[in-house]
Amino acid sequence: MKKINIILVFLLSLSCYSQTISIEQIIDIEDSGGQEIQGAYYKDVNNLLDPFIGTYIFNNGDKYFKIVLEKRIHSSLNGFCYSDTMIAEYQYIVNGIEKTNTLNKLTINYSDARFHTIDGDLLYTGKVNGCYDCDVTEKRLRMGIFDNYSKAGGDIIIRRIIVGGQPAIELNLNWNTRIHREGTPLPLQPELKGGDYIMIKE
Amino acid sequence: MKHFIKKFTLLSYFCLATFLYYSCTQEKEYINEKNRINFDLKEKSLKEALDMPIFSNAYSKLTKKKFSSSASETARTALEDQFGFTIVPDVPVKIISKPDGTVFFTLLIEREVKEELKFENLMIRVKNGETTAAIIKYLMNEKAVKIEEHNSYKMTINEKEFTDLNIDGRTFFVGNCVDTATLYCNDTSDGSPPNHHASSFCITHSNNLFVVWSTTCGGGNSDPGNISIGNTSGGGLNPPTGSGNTNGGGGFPDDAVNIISLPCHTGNCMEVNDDPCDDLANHVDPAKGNIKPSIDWLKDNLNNSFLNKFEFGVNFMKFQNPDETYYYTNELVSDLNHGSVQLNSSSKGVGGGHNHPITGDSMFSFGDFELILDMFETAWVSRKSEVVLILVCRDPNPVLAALGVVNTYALKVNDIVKLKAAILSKKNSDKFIGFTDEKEKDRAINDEMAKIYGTSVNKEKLFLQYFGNYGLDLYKANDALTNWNKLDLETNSGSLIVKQTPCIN
Repeated sequence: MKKINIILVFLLSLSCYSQTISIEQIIDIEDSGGQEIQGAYYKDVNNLLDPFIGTYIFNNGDKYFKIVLEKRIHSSLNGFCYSDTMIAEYQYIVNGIEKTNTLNKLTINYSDARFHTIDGDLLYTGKVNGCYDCDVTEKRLRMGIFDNYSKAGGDIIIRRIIVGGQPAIELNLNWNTRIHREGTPLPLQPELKGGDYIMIKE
Repeated sequence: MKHFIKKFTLLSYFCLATFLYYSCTQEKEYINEKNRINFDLKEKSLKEALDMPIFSNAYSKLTKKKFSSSASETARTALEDQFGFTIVPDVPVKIISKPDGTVFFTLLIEREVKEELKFENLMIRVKNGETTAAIIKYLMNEKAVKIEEHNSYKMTINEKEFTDLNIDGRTFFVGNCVDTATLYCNDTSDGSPPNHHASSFCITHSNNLFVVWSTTCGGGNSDPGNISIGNTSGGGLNPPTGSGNTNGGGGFPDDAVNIISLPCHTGNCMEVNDDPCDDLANHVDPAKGNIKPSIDWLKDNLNNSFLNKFEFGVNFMKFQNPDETYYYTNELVSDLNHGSVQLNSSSKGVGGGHNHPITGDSMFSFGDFELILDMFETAWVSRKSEVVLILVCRDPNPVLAALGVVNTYALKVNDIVKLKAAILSKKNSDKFIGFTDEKEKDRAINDEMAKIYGTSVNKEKLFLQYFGNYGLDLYKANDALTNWNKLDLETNSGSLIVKQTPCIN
């Protein structure tokens, strides 16, 4: 009887343990499809995000735009699932006057990387989304940006290029169309202008 | 025995734990039932109403003329000599019963001289066997719109004028006070708190409607014939307006405008065209919306090697001429200083259009859902059915896109409640509930949508698969913008395909 009790307790413990610990399902980030599985880990299996890591500068004399791209491993999407992802913060200066600086957020260890100003792990391959001169295997990184000052949201597409023998990126920033409701103040505009930026790697 | 005690103890702990678990997870819904009354709203023809002793008795007290309850035509005109109005034929009498036995009858009346955007109701109240009556005159800012669900009208009332008919010394308004009924709703699925003033969402979709009756008093004026009781009237379902006042005469409340279930002149009311194909045809009709030049401008920008990196927009507006005809305007919106454009949502708006840049997705985004929701909600009721959101974008197939092939899509709201609920549900889903800034959350949802579309060349199918139940219809224009095709999913040989149904056959 004592042995039976011990076996029962053991099985019960095992049952409880198996309910709390589950093996994390690992899925390649390229297979995410936007409909993530709860508890899954979307991993950058082939390290496709790594080539985008770095600090890049745009400087035309009047405008100075610096962006720092970092990779975050196993970032939580509010605990729903996990993902390797790229995050970025930036500094924007016009005629010597600093308009925006979010670089200090790089030191904040957000559990959810989406709280960074710029984040994303969507990779476009080839000529889709307007890159008609891209190589069919070329990878571009699509990220989302949120400007806390104007509350504008937008998309950033980053293409890795070489400029004068130096590694660089072509960054396209598009602010999404917003609504202005009758009788309310006009929404603020983001300081950082939309459009293309050629940025040299530091 | 020792084993038995041990097992009993374990079992007891298990029972206690189970009890505690359920105590913690089961939620009890608490609804304040006080004053909660189901309302009763009926419609009858004048002849049917005259067959009701309570009505024919009350009506006969109003008129000095004799009439037979079987001769409704005589009854209809019986008040003309006394008060200068007749009952409008073929418009049902609205009958609202109060649980204490009080019954209110609301009838549409007319006078020889018609007034634009004004109509009058005769309200008869029978309470404790006593009949009182009043006339309420409504002034609207535009024609009312028929709401099929309740055979009622949605309108914005600018002014009301009350005339007490004083029957045998009894007045409708006693001491400047009047019974008012406010329609409440206990449906929280649109994000409203429990027991709130009923919104159009509740009225259309909820079984959780109830009425709270109260007596409302206000400051009257010195005119013995016409009185003004604050901004309230009586004997019906009296909605709060945007300013917090109540008005009434058998009305339903709404967030922005009132849905009034009172009879209305056909000349002052309008049927809304609910065929989206007709609305889309009107938008492209050169004599009406004439949006083609604006859409061509968006297309041209998308095929310009510099401008195709930016979004541009167009606001579609509809204005009324003095002769009650309408004209449309299309305002082009661009802001290359910031690279960010804003479309308007306004009462006179009928939607807008914008492009996605060549780097963007060739289909509507989550932000676009919010754009059309805001445009639809802000537009006056007479314009809601015309509200459209146009998207101009490069074809998702990179080969076609490189050749400059541009698609034009239209979104139309087919179920505003579904749309609101779907947006709310997405925003409150596990993945996004952690965001405290709604705009930042919107951006994160847009990012998710970009992943759904990914690099697929069939974004129409993905849209219909994932967002087909958002209360929105998707249309695609032909190249010349002379016709629209409704896009739907259908199963063909076991696989889903996008079916195009032309608006004009």
